[in-house]
Amino acid sequence: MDKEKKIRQIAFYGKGGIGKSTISSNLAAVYAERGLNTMVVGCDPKADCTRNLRGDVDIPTVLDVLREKGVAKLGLTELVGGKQVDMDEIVYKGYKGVLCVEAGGPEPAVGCAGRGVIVVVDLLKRLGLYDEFDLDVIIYDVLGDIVCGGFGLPLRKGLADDVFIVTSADYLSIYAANNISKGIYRHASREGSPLGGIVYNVRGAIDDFALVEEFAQSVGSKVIGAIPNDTSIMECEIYAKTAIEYKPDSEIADMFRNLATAIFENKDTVSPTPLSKEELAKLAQRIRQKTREEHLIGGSA
Amino acid sequence: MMYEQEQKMEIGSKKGNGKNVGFLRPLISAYSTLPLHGITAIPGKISGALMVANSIEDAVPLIHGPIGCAFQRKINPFRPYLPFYETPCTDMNDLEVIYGGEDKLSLGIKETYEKYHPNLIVVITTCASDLIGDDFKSVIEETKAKGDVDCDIVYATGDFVGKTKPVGYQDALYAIVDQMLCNGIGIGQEKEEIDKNENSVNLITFPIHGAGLKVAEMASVLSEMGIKINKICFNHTTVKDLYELPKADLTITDYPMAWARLMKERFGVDHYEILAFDRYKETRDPELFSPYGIEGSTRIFMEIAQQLGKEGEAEEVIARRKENAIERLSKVKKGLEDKKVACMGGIHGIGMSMLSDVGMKASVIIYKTQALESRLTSDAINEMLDINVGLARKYGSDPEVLVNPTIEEEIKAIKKTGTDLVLSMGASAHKYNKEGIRTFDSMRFTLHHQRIGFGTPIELAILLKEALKKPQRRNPLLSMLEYDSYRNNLIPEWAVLADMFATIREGATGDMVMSENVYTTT
Amino acid sequence: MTWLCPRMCTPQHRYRKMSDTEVKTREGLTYDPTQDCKLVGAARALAGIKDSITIVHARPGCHCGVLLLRALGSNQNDIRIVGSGFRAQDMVYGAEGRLAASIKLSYNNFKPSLIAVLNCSAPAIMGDDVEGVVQAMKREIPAEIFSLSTGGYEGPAWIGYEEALSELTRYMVPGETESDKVNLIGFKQDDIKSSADLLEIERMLNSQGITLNAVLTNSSFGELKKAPKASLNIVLGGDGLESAKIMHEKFDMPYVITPYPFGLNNSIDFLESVTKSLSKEVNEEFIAIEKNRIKERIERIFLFLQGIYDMSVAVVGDAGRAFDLAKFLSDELCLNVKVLAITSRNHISLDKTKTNDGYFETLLIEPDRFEMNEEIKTKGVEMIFGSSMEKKLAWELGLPLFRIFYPVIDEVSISDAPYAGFTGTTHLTEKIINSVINNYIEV
Repeated sequence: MDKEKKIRQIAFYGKGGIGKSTISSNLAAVYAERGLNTMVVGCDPKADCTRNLRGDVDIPTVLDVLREKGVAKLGLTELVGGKQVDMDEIVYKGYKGVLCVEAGGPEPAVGCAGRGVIVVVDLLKRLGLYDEFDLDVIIYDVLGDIVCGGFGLPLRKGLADDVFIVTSADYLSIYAANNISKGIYRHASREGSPLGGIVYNVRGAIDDFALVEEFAQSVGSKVIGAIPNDTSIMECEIYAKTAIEYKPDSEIADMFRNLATAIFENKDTVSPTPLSKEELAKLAQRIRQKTREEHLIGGSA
Repeated sequence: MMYEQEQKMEIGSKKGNGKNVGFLRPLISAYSTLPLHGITAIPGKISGALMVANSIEDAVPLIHGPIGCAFQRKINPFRPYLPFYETPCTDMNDLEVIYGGEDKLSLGIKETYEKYHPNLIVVITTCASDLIGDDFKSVIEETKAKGDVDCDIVYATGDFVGKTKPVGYQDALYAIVDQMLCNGIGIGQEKEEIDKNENSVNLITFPIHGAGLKVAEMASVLSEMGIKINKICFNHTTVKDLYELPKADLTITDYPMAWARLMKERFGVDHYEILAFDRYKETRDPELFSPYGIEGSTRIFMEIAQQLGKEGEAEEVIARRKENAIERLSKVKKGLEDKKVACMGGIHGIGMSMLSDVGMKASVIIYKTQALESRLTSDAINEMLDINVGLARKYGSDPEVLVNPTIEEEIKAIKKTGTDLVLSMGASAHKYNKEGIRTFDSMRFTLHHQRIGFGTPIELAILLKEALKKPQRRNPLLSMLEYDSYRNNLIPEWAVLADMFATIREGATGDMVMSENVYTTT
Repeated sequence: MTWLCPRMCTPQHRYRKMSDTEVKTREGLTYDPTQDCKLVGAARALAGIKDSITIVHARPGCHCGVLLLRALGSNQNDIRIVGSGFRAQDMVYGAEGRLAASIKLSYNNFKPSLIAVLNCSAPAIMGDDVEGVVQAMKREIPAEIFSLSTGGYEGPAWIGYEEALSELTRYMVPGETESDKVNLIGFKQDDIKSSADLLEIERMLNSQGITLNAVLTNSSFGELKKAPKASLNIVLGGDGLESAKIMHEKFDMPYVITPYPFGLNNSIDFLESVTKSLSKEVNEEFIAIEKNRIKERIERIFLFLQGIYDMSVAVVGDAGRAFDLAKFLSDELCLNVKVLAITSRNHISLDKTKTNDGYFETLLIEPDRFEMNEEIKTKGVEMIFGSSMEKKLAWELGLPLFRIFYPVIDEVSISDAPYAGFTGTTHLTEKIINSVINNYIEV
């Protein structure tokens, strides 16, 4: 990360199920399409961030490999150094050569996933992964809410250049986005990764670009791109492919391409100013208002 | 005769740096029979990191964690005979675990500096601080930036070096090179910036007492070859000494060390290992595990010289010293020729070549694998045995090989082969002495005397001769106790602990499977 | 359950002068500790249950540390401490499976009556469901199993000790009370002179027609369960007070807090408190004989005893013992206790700081080691009573170190010469004089 070559490093955060993995894998496919050496590091215990880039082929997670090596017996020459992890064991070449790494982690309600993220990122650094593959782009896809120190790791200095929060126009996603902004803000004072922008992923009951834009501006940032609610995306998911692979000439594929460009070229970053409880409450009211209006317009009871 | 007296006195006193460390030997030996280090327990990374912090005279550790991590670690498994005294900690409690401990760390660093005025603070992290994800690096940078702390600060988490053993020890050294020595020097610029000490080496020893003496002869031989000694660590090492490490051309360590590799990467300081595990991988040459004695030392000195382009000078010096040693040895080893010894197999212990130097033959090799089975593959275990047997045969012995024998089987083989002396590990001598078989404590020899150089076989010869004069039969009180039949230096309770440790460590992956409300392990 | 208010992240400074005694606590934030964490306190309490196994559910360092503490003492044939084989990757995945395996193995190998699982920092923070594992294992294994949360950050060792003893009261069963039977609470089996002291204490009690029922802890689990058979709980030095209170509540058992019987007067106080609590007359004849014996013995070395009169000393030890030793040293041997450093508190320490019998000059409560060393150096003492941890300080100052408090890892005791009681008075006196006259310093 301290090397001279400029590797573009991006982190995606956002509420669980908001579409981060869809966006990050599509963007990775776009970069690969353009001939850039791309890697996606999935930091989610579910280990499904890069699913669409590898046709749902199961790959060993970094933590699983570490676990096995940890208990494996040693050969004579491994007495001092222990079992080493080979790059090939944890990096998988997916669509158009996108390198897929899944951190993995524990089952629900057990263990410490946050610690898992720390261990994986440390290992990748130690293995010199970034130099080995002459990367141009690295994307970190980090799970849901940052509930402990471990998940904040990609926000620390030297990892992501900027962070993009994926949100839709419903209250809970905005709330999560605001929480993530707090995390970014906390680390920003230590030269941690700043906020690059908000990605509006249209899901759920309402489509309210203005609201999301307002939120973005309130925290000092902007909406860098929007992905509409397109059924093709769902179709692609079923086949475990990105839109770029499955429907390369579709409108949605082009939207991903535009977003990819906007993000790649983004130079405009901020240390966000998270909303206060009162400001969030006002926003919540507006969202409820809008939802009610949509219902009435839609004519449903 | 007088010569032998001189040698004995030298062995007995072993002055170094004006301090007589001979008195520490019985103390070290008294604690050396503790069955730890992978047998019944394994120390954590804090112990290793503390060894490093403690070995640097003007450094102070700061343990970022709760009090237990600091208090308990004062009793260090690497050095249980002398507890560590300064182990301040940040006294983490429930609140820090929940809210983060970074503030306390920052204040703790400042306070530690004000109290102890060290030249280096080694922040050692613990389970608690690791799990909550405290950002040690940033805290240290911020604290330094404030300007209240005018010393170096490094942090060791145990994560920098992966599984390289001993983890804590290797990690702390790595941290020192990575964070302190490289500090402020841009990558790619280092090599030109450093004022090199041409044709010099760093000699690195494990920081236990008397370690400095172990390299004295090596230093002397190398100097004669025209190879200067840049630094000897760790022997009253200071932070200033550490900063001078990159000036050398070569770092010589006992075994592969991650920080030595980093020194090569960042400062162009090459590295050389006495126990060359890395080279063994390629060549499978068993001699690589036999660095002691006349032939071993010759090879080591030559290889070091080759790395520095000093073969010419080396040849002459080595030849002369070797000849001198052989001559002295020929006088001293009278009475040892063709005497038979039973030895323990394994990497540690007195090597076959040293036995050959003193004129003795290996009649029995006793190979115990219980402690290894949980850690090494069966191939590796067999390989080690083959190395020992191969070397024995190379040096003219044809030993009987016993693998995991009971004590009765051992005694039988020893008596049948007419063995004169058993090179036992300290804890088991009494078993042989009871049966009228003399013993020599090879563990003690390895701890206190074994080193690279031509003097070692001479010392060994003198000590072996003394051993042959000890009473043949004794009635040790220790024989009154009951021992485990396989781990026969342990009483049954400890043997159970050892077996359990091996099973638990190697077993369950940690996953739980609930089936019919019963936990089963995978 | 005791909840110790954690020290906040701001330096605290408490300094109070009471009459002629200074009382000081830690000044700063960092703590070079003079005591261990909850884990070790609990482990010490459990080690005394002779047919129990303690499983340290933690990263290997904790297990190794507890094992070392025990293995370096005088109980090398009685370890009964097992780890759960926690490995680095378990910090991510959880280690409940390992714990279950280790419980099973412990049972199969040792057939204990009790298995105690101590849940330490790493698994506790991660949230390993130790209680769940224990519940599940109870169905498989005939031994009693319980778990205790002993994360290092939860508190110091003495809290762990109190909690472990309190936990053990849950297994006690009410029974027919036998008069003149007592339980001893606050006994620590790994103190340097524990077995010899116990013999002496028992001898003293027997002289009063009193017998020991259960010792907390130096009994089997079965004996412990029958603790309510006794008619009185003796709380030595205040250690284990919590469990005594619980037993009082649950079984209506009275308790009495006695000094740890260092020295003549403490021994007499001990006997008088116990007999009074049992509504018995103290056997004066016995005391007279013991007093006479002490007199006869000290007469043999009275010149040296005069020679050490008014010698300045420092006492560094835990509350349950150190206060009482300091009293003996000051009152009977007439040494000046310049510094009394209490390395770990107990529930009655606060009361002790309020009363002042004038037998120490400066009182330090749980001091930082650095600050304590400075204090001792400035006070100018001539001997230190402490644990093995004061070794270097003593060497730096050229002073003899008398090892009496926990942990002692560089001295063994396998003989029956106690430090406690009447016999202990002569033995202590002998050893103290020898420490002074044995000492060699070159100038």
